[in-house]
Amino acid sequence: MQDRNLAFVGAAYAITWCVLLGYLIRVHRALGRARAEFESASTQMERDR
Amino acid sequence: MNETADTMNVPRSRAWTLFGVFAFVALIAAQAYAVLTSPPDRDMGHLQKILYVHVPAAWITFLAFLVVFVFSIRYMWRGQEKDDLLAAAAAEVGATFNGLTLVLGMIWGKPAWGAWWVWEARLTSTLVLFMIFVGYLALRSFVDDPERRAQWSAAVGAFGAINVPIVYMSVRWWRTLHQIQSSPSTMDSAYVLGLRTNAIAFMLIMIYFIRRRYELARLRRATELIADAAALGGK
Repeated sequence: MQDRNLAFVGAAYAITWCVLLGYLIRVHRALGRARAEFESASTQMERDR
Repeated sequence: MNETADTMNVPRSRAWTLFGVFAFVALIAAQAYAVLTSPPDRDMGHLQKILYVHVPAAWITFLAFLVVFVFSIRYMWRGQEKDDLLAAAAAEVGATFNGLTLVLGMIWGKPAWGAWWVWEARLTSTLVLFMIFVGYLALRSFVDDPERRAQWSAAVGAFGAINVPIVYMSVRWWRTLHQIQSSPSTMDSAYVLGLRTNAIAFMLIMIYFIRRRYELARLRRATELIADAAALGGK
């Protein structure tokens, strides 16, 4: 019974870290892309002026 | 809405990166402390250790939706786009923690209650809260006009956050399988510090996530404003 409960505890912590790290990676990747797009658009606008 | 690409842009910040590293290190330390030092519960045994992730995730869900409520109302009051973007960032982070709370609750429920899911007041109201904010995020992706998107989102965000006290009080207002709220006075002292430190670590992570998501929203908006200006001939 205790061993089975430990499996549930392990699953809970594994899922927590998957969600937190998954969200962190997702936002950081999107942030990198957004910053690159912003800098590219800014450079393009400066050239057009 | 009188924002420009310059006012929307967010400069890179090393301080926030350090804050994020600190938040994750704090969570590792808090979890290690709680898991290694808390004794097994008399009835639940080691299953009690799920408390240190499930309860903070639920509290942080409430806190994130409180941020949504405050900034949605502030947007309706002042009409500033940055308030809308901050509310949206908090809504996404809150929905993530809300989903996590539900999944962790199911993992706890199976060995404790013998069922992954029970249609009782606390679980059902938490699921309704989750669906409202998934709807909020879907609404934002369907509406292109930034002003209309912000107005509708503010209304849904404020309405959705009103459900937080209903979820919180559901265990007292209705007969539920879910236990009522614990407090340091009703809880074994061996578990209190572990729970508090984990809640603080979760809160730091929530702040970091909201900040980064807000930064992302502002950068995307700044790029849109540049594109709009270019389409109007650089004016």
